[in-house]
Formats: sequence, structure tokens, C-alpha cells
Amino acid sequence: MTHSRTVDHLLADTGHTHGERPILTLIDSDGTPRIKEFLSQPAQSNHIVQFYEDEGFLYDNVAQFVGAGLSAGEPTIIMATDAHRRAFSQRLKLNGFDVERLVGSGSLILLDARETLARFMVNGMPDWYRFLAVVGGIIEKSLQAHPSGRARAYGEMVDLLWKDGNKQGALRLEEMWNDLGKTHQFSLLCAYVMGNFYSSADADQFREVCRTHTHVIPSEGYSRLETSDARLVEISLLQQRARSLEHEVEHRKDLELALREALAREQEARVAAEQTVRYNEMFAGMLGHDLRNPLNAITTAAYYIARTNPGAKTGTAANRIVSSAERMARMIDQLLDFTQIRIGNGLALRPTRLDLMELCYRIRDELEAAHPECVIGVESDGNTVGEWDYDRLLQVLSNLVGNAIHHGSEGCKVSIRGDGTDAGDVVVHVHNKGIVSPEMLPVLFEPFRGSAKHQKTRGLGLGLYITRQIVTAHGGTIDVNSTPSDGTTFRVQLPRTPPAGSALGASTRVDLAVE
Amino acid sequence: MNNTLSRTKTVVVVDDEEGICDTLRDVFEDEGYSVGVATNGAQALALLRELSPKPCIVILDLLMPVLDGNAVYRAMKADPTLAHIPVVISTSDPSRAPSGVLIMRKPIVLDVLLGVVRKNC
Repeated sequence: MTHSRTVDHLLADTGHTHGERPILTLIDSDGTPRIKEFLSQPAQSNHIVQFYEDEGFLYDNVAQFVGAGLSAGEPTIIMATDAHRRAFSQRLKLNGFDVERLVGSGSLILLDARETLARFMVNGMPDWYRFLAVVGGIIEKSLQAHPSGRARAYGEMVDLLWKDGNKQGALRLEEMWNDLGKTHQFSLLCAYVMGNFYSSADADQFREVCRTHTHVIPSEGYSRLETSDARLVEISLLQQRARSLEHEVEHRKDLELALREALAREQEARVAAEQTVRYNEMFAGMLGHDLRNPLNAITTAAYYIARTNPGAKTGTAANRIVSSAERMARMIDQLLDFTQIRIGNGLALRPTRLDLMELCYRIRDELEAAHPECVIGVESDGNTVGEWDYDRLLQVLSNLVGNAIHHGSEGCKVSIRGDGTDAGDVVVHVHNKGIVSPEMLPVLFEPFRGSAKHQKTRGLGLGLYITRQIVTAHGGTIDVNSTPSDGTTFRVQLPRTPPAGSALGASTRVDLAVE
Repeated sequence: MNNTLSRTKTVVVVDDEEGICDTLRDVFEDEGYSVGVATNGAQALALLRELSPKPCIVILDLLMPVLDGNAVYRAMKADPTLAHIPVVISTSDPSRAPSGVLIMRKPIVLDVLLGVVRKNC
């Protein structure tokens, strides 16, 4: 609804009159409003609609309409909500009316709008014959007792129907009031709260409500303006507001269209990206399972050759095949882990209750066997038991201790120290005498870090990246400290229980039965 | 180890990578075992049902055509004549393995596998 559409309606009679012409008009020939005078002396069959925002404005105008009627000896019927009936009565008392006496004499009839409405509604619509019997009957009865020849009625039943969402019913009832006015001598004031008409979709029905009345009184924002000049200014302002709102609506429609188009493009891009992710996952799966099988065959066959040719050159060559194939398998593992971390759902943990030192001793045994020249010291303090993923933590320790062996100095001396003295966390230190260069320290846990430049690199540069991801998935932290005097220490801190959501159900890992 | 006894024992290897089957056959035959080989799950079940006496261990791959290792494992557990046979799962993806079973991650370490076989056969 825009204001400019209604203003034309508001300024004069709608031309929809029944019976005699109004004696007074709402607006003088010079444009001055005469609302109070008009409401005091409405012509017979005038069907006035009052819009309002503020209840006080409604009370004033209804009191004016009803009070003038009562003063003129016209019987008056009020069909309103309970709260409004009380408010009107109070306002009439303030204006000097003896409400009880008027009600007692039948001059003032106070009816509940909802109850009266219920008496003539059939299947959600007002029924003309029942309306005639109920409302027509009330008016006839009041006229018989008060032979002034005319009555007044104020009604909120249409407003109730409108608030109920029954707009067709409300418009039908307005027409019935007009038809009743053709045979019964009364003037009628209806009231609608402006909040009923908040949507632009209401514009046509609002126009229809105005059409069904002989006179329209706009809400107080307009009606309270004192002079015709002020009203002309207000009309200009309303017209400007309507134009700007229409323009704003157009602008927003354009914006919405642009947004929809952008959304469609974004969805297309997302579908394409999801497709890429699926391909990547398929690629990772292929890498993991299809490449590993022949690699397994190579390794196993090379093992077999080495076993059957101990000490011979053939056996030594076979051992080199085994060693390279194992390194290749580790790289495949790392690529799989990397893929899982970056495009999959992250690393899934299968935590079991275990002693971290058990893993440290296992790593020491394995790496000392592979590097007999190295000394790996293990010590611990306190309780180092917690709930962690056995295989993943083995991977962490294997990576850290393996790095310490490969990048150490002063021979090959590595120490592992477990600290279980804290109730919440267990800490592991892996230390050697090597030095990490200061420029490498900040990027040490980055993926594919400097592998092209790094002379000693043996893999993809993913080991520490994956190690940190595993520690993080456990809710822990990893950091490194390296100085020329103290060497390098990696410190892994693990909460004894991983955070909720990091595990995919408890594992039932079974240790291999090895002789 | 009692060689006379182990000579009568059969190891079954199930893997769709024929290179693995052939090498493991050589390895276990060198150790004195009789070796049965299958390259998919359906073949494996047929072989296991046919063999008498039953093998002392089955080395079972998981990802295979026709019938995968998990299905073979379930069928074995459901068959009273096969349910008692020890199984080692040999896989590149241990997260897919059934619970409560020995798992060896590929590439398998031959000495470790031999140890497991010796212990169970």
C-alpha cells in the first residue's frame, strides 16, 4: 500500500452514497478538515470508515460520534471489543454522560463485537438474512423505543474479520452494512487499525475498503493536521515517500535478481569443485590401494631373494630393493594422509588405552635394529597412560625419532623422555644434538617444505606436517626448540583423553602374534 | 619345530595380486608348508571348503574382486568347518578390517608374517 494511492480517496466523499446526500462534508470547500463537526452530525446512511494508529485518536473520534448522537436523542449501538467498550464508556463519562442510565434506558446499547459477529457468520462468511435479523433487529428495536427516527452505530466486526485474515468476509460485511442502510435509518462508523494494511499486496483490498464507505477518515498522522496548507505539505511528503518506496522496491528487485544470478553461478562452481574433490578422492584411493598391491609384491619378492641369498651380491641388491620400496610405501602413506587431511574429513582416530612409553620402547627397538650405530635413550617419569590412537602415535614417534637419527650430529645419539607427572597431559620430548637452521624453524611443520632446496631430504617433506595433524587431532600440541648449545628438542603434549568427536569408535586393535 | 608335522600343514594365501601369491607360495614351500592360493574371495571359500585337512592359517587380502576379504571372513565365521581357522588380514587399509582379527599393513614384513605362521601352524 502506498500513501499516494489513498490520499485521493481521503480528500472528498467517495461518491458512494446511499439515500440522501450528506449535510456536512469532511472537508470544507477551502480544504479545511471538519472531522469533529462531521462526526457530530453525520447524514443518515453515511457509512464512515475511521483508520487509526493510536487508540487515543480512535477513542476521541468515537466519543465524538457517539456523544453527539446521544445528545441529539439518537439511540446508539456500540459493537466493540471488551477493552474498547470500557475505554469508550470512560471517555463518555469524562464528557459528562451518565453511561449507566443511558444503557438502562436503552439509548446506549453496548455489544461485544465477537459475540455479535458469531450470531450471523455461516461457514466463515456473514449471512445476509441472519445479519438482517440480528443487526437489523437491534437497530429497529432501538428506533422503536426512541422515536427520533434515526440511530447511530459504531462497529469493529469488520476489523475483527480483517485481523482474522478473513478479508473477503470483511468486505462482504461492509456491503451488507450498505444494503442495511437502504432500509434502516442509521449512520455507521467503522474503524480499522492501520496495522491491518502493512503489505503492498493489501493495496487493492484497502482501496476496496475505502470504496465501500461513503466517507473515509485517515489515521491521525493526517487527520490531526490543523490547516489545509499543512495537509497539502503532508500530501506532498506522502507522494514523495510513495515514489521513493516504489523506486526502492524496484532497486531491491534488481539487487535480488543479481543475487540470484550470483548464487546460481556460485552453485555451479561448487558442483564443479565437488566433482574435483571426488576425482581427487578416487585418485587417492587408487594411489593407496592399487599402487600398494604391486609394491607389496615387489617388497615381498625382494625379501625372499634376500633371504635365500644371504651374503651374496644378489641378496644385497635385493635388500636395496626392499629399502627403496619401503620408502616408497611410506611416501604413499604420507600422500594418502595428506589427501585425507586436506580434502577428506581429517584424520579419524581409533583411541585405545595405552602406555606411551610402550610405544617409545618399540620405536627404540625398531630403529636401533635398523641403525646399530645409534644410541637411543628412553626415560620416563610418572604415569604415561592415556587414550590415544596406537598406530597414529607410533607414526608420530617414528617420524620424530627417525628425523632425530637422520639429522643428528656428534655421532648418533637420541633421547626420548616421557613426562607423566601432570594429571591432564602427558608430554614426550625427543632430543638430539642437531640444529635446525633459524630460517627453517618457522616453516618446519608446513607441507612440502623446502624439499627442492633441502639437500638431505629423503621424502616429500610431509612427515612433520602429518605429525602435527595427528597431535592436533588428539587435542595436543607440538613445538620445537633448537639452539646451537642445547641441540634440538621436539615437545609433544597430549591430553590423556582426546576431545570428543575426534574418534570414530573404539578400536579393537589386536597385537600381532610374533615369535 | 617339528618338520615332519609342519610338512602336513597347509597355508592358504588369498590376494588378487598374483605376484604376492607366487612369492608367498615359494616362501612357505621353502619353509616346508603346503600352500593353497586363491585370487578372489569366491575362489578362496571354494578352496577352503574343499581342503582336507583344513589349513592351519589363512592370509587374507581385503580389497578383491568378486567377493572381498570381509565377506570371506564373515562366511568363514558362519561355517562351523572353517570358523576355527586363524586368519591374518593383509591390507593397505587397516580401517576396513573386521574387529578382533590379526592385521598386517601392506607392504608386509616377511619375517613378521613368517613368525605369525610358525606360531599358528
